[in-house]
Amino acid sequence: MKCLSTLFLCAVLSVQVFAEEAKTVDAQAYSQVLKESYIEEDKAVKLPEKLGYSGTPGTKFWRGVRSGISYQTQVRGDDTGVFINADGEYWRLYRNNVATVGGTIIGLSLLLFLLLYLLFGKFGVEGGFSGEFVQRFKLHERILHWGTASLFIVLGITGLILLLGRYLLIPMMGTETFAPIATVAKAIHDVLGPIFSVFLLVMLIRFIKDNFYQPGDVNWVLKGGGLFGKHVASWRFNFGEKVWFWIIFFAGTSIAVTGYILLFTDLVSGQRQVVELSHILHTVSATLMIAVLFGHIYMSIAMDGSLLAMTRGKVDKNWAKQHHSAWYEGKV
Amino acid sequence: MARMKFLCDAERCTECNSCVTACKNENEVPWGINRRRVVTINDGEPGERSISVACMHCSDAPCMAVCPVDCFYQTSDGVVLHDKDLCIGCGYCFYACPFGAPQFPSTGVFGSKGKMDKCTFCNGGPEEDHSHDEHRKYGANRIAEGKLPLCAEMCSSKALLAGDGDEVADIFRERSTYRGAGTGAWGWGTAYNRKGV
Amino acid sequence: MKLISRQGVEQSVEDGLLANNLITRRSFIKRSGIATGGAIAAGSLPTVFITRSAQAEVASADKKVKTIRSVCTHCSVGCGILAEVRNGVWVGQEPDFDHPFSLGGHCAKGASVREHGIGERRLKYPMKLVDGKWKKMSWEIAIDEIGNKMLEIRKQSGPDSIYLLGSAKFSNEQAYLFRKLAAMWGTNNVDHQARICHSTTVAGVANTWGYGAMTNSYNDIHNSKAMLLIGGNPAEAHPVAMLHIFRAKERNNAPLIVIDPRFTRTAAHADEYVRIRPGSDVAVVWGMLWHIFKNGWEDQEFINQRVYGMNEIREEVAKWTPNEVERVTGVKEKQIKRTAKLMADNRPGTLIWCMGGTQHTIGNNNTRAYCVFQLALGNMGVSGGGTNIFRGHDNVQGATDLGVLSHTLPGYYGLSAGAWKHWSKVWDLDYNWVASRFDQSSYEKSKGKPVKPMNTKGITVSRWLDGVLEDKKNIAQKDNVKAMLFWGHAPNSQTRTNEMKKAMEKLDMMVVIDPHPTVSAILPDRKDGMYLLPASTQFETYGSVTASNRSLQWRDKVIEPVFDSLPDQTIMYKLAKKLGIDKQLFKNIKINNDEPLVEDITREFNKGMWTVGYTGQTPERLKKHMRNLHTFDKTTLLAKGGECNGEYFGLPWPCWGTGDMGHPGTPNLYDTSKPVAKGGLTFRARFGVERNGTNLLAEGSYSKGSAIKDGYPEFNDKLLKKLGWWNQLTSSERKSAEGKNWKTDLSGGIQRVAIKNGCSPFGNAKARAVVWTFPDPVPVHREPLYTNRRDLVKDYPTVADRRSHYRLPTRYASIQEKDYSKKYPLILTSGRLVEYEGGGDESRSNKWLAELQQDMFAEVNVVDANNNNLRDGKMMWVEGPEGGRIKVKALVTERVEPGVVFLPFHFGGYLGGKSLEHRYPKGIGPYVLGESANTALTYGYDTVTQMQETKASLCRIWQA
Repeated sequence: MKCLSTLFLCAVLSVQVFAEEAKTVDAQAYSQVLKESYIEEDKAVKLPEKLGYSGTPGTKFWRGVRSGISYQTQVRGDDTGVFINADGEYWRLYRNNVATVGGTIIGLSLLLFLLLYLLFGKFGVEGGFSGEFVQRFKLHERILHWGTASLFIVLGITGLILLLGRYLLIPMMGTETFAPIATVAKAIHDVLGPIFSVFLLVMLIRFIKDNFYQPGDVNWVLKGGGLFGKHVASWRFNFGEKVWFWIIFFAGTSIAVTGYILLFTDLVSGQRQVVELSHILHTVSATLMIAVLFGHIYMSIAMDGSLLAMTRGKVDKNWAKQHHSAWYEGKV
Repeated sequence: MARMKFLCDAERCTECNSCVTACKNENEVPWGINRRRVVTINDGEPGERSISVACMHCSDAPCMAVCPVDCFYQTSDGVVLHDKDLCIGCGYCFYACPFGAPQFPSTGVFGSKGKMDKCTFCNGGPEEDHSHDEHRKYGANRIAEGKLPLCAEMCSSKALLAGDGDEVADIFRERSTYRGAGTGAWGWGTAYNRKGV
Repeated sequence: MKLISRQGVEQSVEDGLLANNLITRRSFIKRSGIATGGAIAAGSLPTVFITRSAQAEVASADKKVKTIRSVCTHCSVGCGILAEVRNGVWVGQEPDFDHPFSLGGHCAKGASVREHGIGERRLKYPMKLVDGKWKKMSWEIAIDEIGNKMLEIRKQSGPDSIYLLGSAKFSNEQAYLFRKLAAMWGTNNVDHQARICHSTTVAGVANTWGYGAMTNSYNDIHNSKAMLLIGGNPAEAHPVAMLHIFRAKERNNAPLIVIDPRFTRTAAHADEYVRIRPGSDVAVVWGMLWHIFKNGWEDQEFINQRVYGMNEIREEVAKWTPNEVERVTGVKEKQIKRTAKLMADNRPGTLIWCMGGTQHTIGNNNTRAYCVFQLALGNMGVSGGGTNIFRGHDNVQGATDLGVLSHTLPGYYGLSAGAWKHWSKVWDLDYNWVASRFDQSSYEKSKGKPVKPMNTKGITVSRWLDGVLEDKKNIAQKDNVKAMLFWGHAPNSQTRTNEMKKAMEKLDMMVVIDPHPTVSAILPDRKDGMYLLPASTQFETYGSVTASNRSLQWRDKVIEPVFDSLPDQTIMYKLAKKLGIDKQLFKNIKINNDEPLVEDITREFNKGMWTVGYTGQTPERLKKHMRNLHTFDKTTLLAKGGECNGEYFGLPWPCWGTGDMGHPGTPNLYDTSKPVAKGGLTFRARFGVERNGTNLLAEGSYSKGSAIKDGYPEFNDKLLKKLGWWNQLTSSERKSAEGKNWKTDLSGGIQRVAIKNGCSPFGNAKARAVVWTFPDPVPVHREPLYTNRRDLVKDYPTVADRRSHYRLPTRYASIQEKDYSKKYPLILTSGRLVEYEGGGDESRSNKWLAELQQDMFAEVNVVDANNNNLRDGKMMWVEGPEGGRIKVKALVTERVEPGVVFLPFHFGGYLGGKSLEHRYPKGIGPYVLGESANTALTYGYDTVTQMQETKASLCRIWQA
């Protein structure tokens, strides 16, 4: 609950940050706008004839200290004019809870699909394999898929090391051993991230046309995707796969965009909140994708013959009829 | 056990920046890294006040809490230190810190910010006291010599106080009594869990 | 080659920051538990880091650190410095908690002085400009070439064509030696920064009550019940002074009143801030006095006993009704009255001023008005009161006292034949030989008689450029200035940069002797005829230094001169030797390897400085004080017990008599509550005993224990005889004192006997509120030369132009007549920043300071910014009425009021928007360059001292 409320606060905050950001030209002007809003309120407090009155600095002063506004300083650098970075506290709360919640979600997802596989094993193709094949994914599509997938897995693992390592790995190996691992993980994460974003972009473009809503998708949902025995017609991608696609689309884009911000913090110099927010979005999106990824892997393994589509690019005719009848018919 | 604290008396700070250069001098901090800075509020207007800000060595330090490699530790004096050998330069501490204390040598190509540097309360780092490595990485270790941070020791108007929290509080209480006005102590509540002080 | 001394410098944290070392070898070996990850990391570790840390551990085994005590070389507070030195390298700085002035405190500058000893931006070797390029050369050749040129110019144009521009950064010994060098060379064209710093203070204050210096001390402010600062910003210019000010504010609840056109960082801590129009100081002081006189708040008894001419002041003050004050200064009656009442209700109160009051065409009027204000309240001669004049540079007081000035010999003896004879005697030289060194013609008349250049005031530092550019026939000397020796001077601290550039180009030779190349090296478009000689800083030599409160401190040498630099006294010796005057100059001074013995120089001026009491401060006594810092009281400065028992810290001058007499120094001037022998004093009888039938001597006021219970004139042999005290002199003293007075008796006998009888050697007189020898006997307000208040020019016009003022024609009315305010509607003023000092050549070359102020800027009020389309942080142009323009960053702020533009004056290296950085010898220019404020600032010189006007001019601004 605490975590959720934090997330909510962060979201509200982020909306504010971006809204203000859109209106202003640069950080300095933005800061000035905020500063003036405080000065306005305190006009009544000023003693007009006692300029420079040296009593207690008063509410105006302390409010300014807490405001997060950038004030005058001779020291240059990020946010050097800010007294207290109050948003850091929200980020810290998030950061301290995400490991538990995010880790748990990922763990549960892994457990769930592992259990499903152990309980039900593989689902065979109705009427067995025909031995005749039909082309499902072209070579470049397969390269795209596996490129993105492998990069994502490496990024996921390295990311999880950074996110959870302190809680899971340090107790096992100690900080001295973990630090180099984390350094390497971070380096890999930083270098592969941009490559991943390119693969992701091309892959999304390549597959997007087959992932819009098509007639019959609602029927597929109503019938539970044929989970209960009855056959349902489906296009090249069934509705479940389409959902996966759109998760990748939104979460993946979010990961990529926020990833760039985290890589090049210069871009948002003087806007510490943006980095904090980016970090939150990055981790939430990644957690979501990792959790769903286990489902994707489970499906490809549990549905006998599915994996061939991405390995050899061809699927058995009977498999196609069963899982993607509309597509198969269209193809034939 | 003494607990080391900083306190900046806003009624006395005149933004002379001696704390900033004293720190540079003592710790040989390079151009671009500022372990301490002075911020002025209402600059040039009635009510202008300046405050010297650095790592406040919080009781429950946010930097410690968020570090992915757990490189921070707190000494028995309550000083928050970190191990540069462990630091991976992720910048999380900077985002969590209320006071903007952590500093990085580069703003980062591909997220590499270099090893984090921050105020050590002139207490060095995990290396052996006064070893060359300690000096090279963290600067001075005055606490080990029985001295206090140079920024506070060299403060021109004695606005910046450092030392055992009880003694610092006593000095400041006495000053406030003479002054007969508001306290003007900054950051105390935020850093030491006394909100509203 | 002294580069070696730097190799021991510790590696900086930078390595630790930038090094990509994942884990050090040592910690790795120590900690390798589960080593798989670690092993990979160690494998990828660049070997360089391993070797470096291994070597370093061996190197750091040597931990022998020497702690050396010195004194900060920036402002005049005189903060103590504890330098830690290892293997000849300055490795650390510690706070000097025992130090009575600073109690361990420093400002940004003081906390970073170590950089001067380890920084890379120093002038490293003698150099000269050949075809527009800097060429390295040896000291011998440099001195030889410079000396030949000087002698050649002397032959053609006379000794006055060489200008010796000295420095407030000299130690007392170097300052004295420099003045003596000029005397031996045969010119009075010698001066230094004090001219453009507090010359109007020295002249105004000395002519009011005797001595031109801070009367009390920083520490004595602890006793103040009120503090009035006018034209001073100690929070930036003297930050450690704020320690003492805050103490009075907090402990005594003393109101802190700041009168300034600008809401300074000091004003931010004030109880009362009074904003005045720049250049209206006299008006605001008279405005306060109007209320004081009206309500009878003045100290009438004090005035009766110790002040002359207050009635004439009353007449002038009566004109300053609240309405008139508001018309001229802009301050409302209510606030003026409240301020006056605060000062009247809280006595003793101190009055502090700095350059905001002095740097005006009527600077001497301002300073005298301040003095009169304190006299009226009876705040003089009391602990907690006084005029606490904060001087600028670390030794500007000492350099002034020791006469690096064009109008006097050391000790304010002046330039009369008597003064020359006195010093010739001290120097053990034939007066006629000294006189023969000067130009024997005469160009000026005094009282109808021609006066020789030896006895006429030389050209001032503020006007040297006019000495070059002015038509020869208008200058009261043989020829124009042909060569300049800039010996520790920042030219960008002087106004009229564009004309200065022309002057520098016209010179036959320019010599810069300084630890840094300074703006002199880059300003002129010269191809040759310029030399840069590396001087050491004060940390690389030793000697005494006088703080603002007149205390002398002995600096020890921290490190050996870095690179090829030499201490100033050594350079002076080399030059004197080349010029053939070394035998005379160093007659009483021992020379070791071309370096004069500093202690011998101190002893020599001890022998002659009777006027201001620089006679008791022997090197031995000063060194003893530095060893026993901790025994001095932090408020009274009095040593309690120990070796220095009963003495005041640094033997603040006047420290009467010879060192053997053991006078403790005078902590507060004119304080009659103590016997003279214990630091008490009366006002000096400097102006005669009677004027127009009025007694000028004190009436019924005398210092404690005085044998004469009334005023008395200054002591001489006749007075002693008259009083029957002649026999108290020893026989040898009698021989020396015959025909002499307290200033010229080299035995010190007259002083000793006067003090023995509880009397001040210089007499006991009234302070004079009216200085009848000055252009304005009663201080009056006069509008600045460049003013936008044309309505006031009629009522408060400036003085008429003068044909010869310090040898040069000086313009006043002819400038003010013309109305510049249409084109230049805004008032332009200037001031200091805490990070930099003076022209900033030294502080901008200090990387720790430079990082904190990277841009030259102009403070502009929001209203003016909007009217002129300026944005905060964007570039703008500022142009003065003489056409000098600068391109700076706009700082839009309420700190200045609408209609006023403020510029900090520490920057240099840009001219008219163009960088001159490429002209510095490679790698030795400052880190930060910027437009010089003085490029936009204009003509205008004080009517008494030739102080430059930098606080009230005009300008226009527009977006760049």
